Amino acid sequence: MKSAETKKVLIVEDEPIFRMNYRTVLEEKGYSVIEASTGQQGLHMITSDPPDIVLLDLILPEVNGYEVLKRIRETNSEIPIIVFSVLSGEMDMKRAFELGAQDYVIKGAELPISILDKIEALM
Amino acid sequence: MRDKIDSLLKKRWDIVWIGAVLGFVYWMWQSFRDAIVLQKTSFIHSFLFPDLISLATRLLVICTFLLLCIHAKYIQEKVLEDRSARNRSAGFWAFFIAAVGFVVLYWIIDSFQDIIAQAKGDIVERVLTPGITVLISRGLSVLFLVILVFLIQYLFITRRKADKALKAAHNQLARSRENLNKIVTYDVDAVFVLNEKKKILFVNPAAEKMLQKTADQLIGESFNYSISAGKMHEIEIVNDQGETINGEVCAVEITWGTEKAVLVSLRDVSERKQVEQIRQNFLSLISHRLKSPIIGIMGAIENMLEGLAGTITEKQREYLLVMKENVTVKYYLIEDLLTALRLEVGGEEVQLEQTVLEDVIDRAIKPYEMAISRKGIKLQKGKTNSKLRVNADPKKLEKVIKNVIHNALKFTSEGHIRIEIQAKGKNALISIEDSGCGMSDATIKTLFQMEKKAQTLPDANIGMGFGLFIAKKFMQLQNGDIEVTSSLGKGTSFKMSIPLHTKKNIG
Repeated sequence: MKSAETKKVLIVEDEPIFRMNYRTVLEEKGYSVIEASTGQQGLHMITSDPPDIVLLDLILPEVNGYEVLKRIRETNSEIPIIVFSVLSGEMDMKRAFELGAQDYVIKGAELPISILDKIEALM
Repeated sequence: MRDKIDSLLKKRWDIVWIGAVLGFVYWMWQSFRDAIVLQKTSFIHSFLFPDLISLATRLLVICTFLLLCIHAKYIQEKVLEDRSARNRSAGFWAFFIAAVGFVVLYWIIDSFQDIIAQAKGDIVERVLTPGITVLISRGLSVLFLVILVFLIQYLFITRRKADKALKAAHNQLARSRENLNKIVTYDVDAVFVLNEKKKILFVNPAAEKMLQKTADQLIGESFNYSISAGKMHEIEIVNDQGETINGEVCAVEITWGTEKAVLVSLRDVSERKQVEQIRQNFLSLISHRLKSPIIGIMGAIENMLEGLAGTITEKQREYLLVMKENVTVKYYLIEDLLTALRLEVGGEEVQLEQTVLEDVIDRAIKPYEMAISRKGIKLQKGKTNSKLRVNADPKKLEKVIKNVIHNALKFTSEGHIRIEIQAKGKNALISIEDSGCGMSDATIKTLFQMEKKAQTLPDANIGMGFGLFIAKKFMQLQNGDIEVTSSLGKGTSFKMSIPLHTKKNIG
């Protein structure tokens, strides 16, 4: 996991407890974590402090996750994006993948720790 | 009704034939008169070889008869062509006047015959005072005529009756057509008739209103929406104003005039859809707001138990485990409540696919294996058929089986929980049987109902008790069902049925 030390993960999530949970798991594995609590902030950080991977919630204030996903993909088709949401409907997943998400995690169905495998798979 | 009238019309007598028969009878009567009444000659001789005057009289009378009959026939034909009441009445009066004219003519002819044949007084005397024998003779002749008139009149009456019945039938037909027209005109559903190439042949006003086009504009246009005969489904229509309309469409094959056509009924369900959408969005919002923090807390507890937030003491671990269990129960409670609400408002959808039944059952049992063995209960898998494939929504079916196992586990403290699957006809049967405390009939009655559950205070550590309500609804959504039999103190048996997978029912 030596490479992980230099990898930067951006968490775009409005609820602090989720940010805390994922930050804890990621930092334990040596990732550097930056956080955004709104979609707008997330979009700003992608250009100002480019991360290696994005964890993106769908239900966000101001600009929702789908819109964030769309706007990221308009300028950046490379960066891996994992969507994580409480939305478990097939339509939600389909839409996220169509907009360019690499993976989809249903919060609650899987523990925060399971995100590590998914991140490693995309690096 | 129409057939009956037509056959009645065909049965009419041919008036010319009646005239001919009556003419023959008159010939006989005249022969008889010549022979017996006037004592001129024998009957046979008079019948075969009447004297010149008698012959002339007979021919004159018979010709007049025939003319009258032909006239009547002609009137009848006219009436047949044109059934207007005015024409019919005019025809009858023309005939009547002709008949009266004939009577007068006959009377004069007979008076002349008397004078010429027997030289009995002058014409005025013969017309006014013919004498008793001649009077009887003429009276009988006139009687024939009266019979003829009555016969013909009878025919007219029959005709009239037939016409009346026809008219009544016409009126009834017109009335029912008018009523049908009203239904189609004032129906709030849009009605279209399409030909085989889906070109519009007819629209009702509701259709014009829905598509914001007049009938003239619509007729001949193509109906560019999917329809399948006998099946109701939803379509989206964008009209000329750019409004999107959610329609529920139903089509049926009909004959329109002589050609094959499709009758399409389209109901505007936009408002209902909007309400449904609002409800679903609201549920989704509640779902997010309620579930999110719990999921967050579950994740935080898990991280602490994993030691990601530093080393924890045994006592702290114990606390965290209790918290985890408590929060997990609350999570499923909210999940069940939201599912139950979604089922009530109709926002739950199913994705039916070919599913290996045993795999679903194995997945459903797995989380309970530990709890079952901890309670000292035997988990028995009876007759199973590993190849049994059903047409189901795997996640929903798994949830149903989990809920039933959860229920069995809750009410069984010793003995066994037995699971069997088998094929029966077109269905797969899943039976989950326990040796638990059983249920009373009163409990069974309300077991699958949501509203009854809400009336009792739920056990906070078990759940709201919506599990079996959800199970029932989920099975019904998958074209299956769930039933229960139970006896107090002996145990409970849940039997679920679900259609086996066939090539036909997929999708």
